Amino acid sequence: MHMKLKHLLAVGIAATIGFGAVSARTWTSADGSKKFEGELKAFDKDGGKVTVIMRNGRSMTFDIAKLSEGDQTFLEENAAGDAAAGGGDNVQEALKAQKVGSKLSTRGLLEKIDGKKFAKYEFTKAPEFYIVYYSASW
Amino acid sequence: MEKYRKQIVPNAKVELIHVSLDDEEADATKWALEGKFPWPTVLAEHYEETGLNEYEAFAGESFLVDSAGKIVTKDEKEAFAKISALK
Repeated sequence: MHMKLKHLLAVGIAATIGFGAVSARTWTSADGSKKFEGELKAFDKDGGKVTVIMRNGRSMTFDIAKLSEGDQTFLEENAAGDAAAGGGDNVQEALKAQKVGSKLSTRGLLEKIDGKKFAKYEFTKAPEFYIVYYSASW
Repeated sequence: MEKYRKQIVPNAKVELIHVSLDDEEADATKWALEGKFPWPTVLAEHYEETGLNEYEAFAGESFLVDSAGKIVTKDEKEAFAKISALK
């Protein structure tokens, strides 16, 4: 097999594994001016490319620099979680075995800013350590 | 913020959990938006359910705990040194 094709296949397979459970989400452009719905299909971290399945079923591949910081963080977390646990189900199983993770992963307890408000958030990795940071507006 | 993006986000073995001590979600939201907080947050209404109230921490405090909930260090420099060594 041609080396370039081999490389592309390897990257595609590696990047795709583990993202099957990722549901559709809202993606935002780097400047915040555009939003679209789509499901993460693949993330090539080394190449800086992401492939998203749009609502019409078509796949689009583009540079991650075109996405918001929040989206880039989401991709990094998915990649990290995938590397650690080999997929979403394994992450949840690993979290259940922890004192800290089991409580935090209980549905609805974790939130994250999404746009202009908090939205429910679920771990994409099962950490061995947590930095706990307390703050308040006052 | 930079430390979070470079040292915590790509590291599968560690996560930052922000605990908001604001009683009102509106205040917590405003605070998070102003600070552009990218990390997972526990709002005050869920504080006790997560067990993170056991540490009786004040606003501004942070520390590194293991998955069993044991405090590893309260020193930020030491915490990030530990994180770096995890890779």
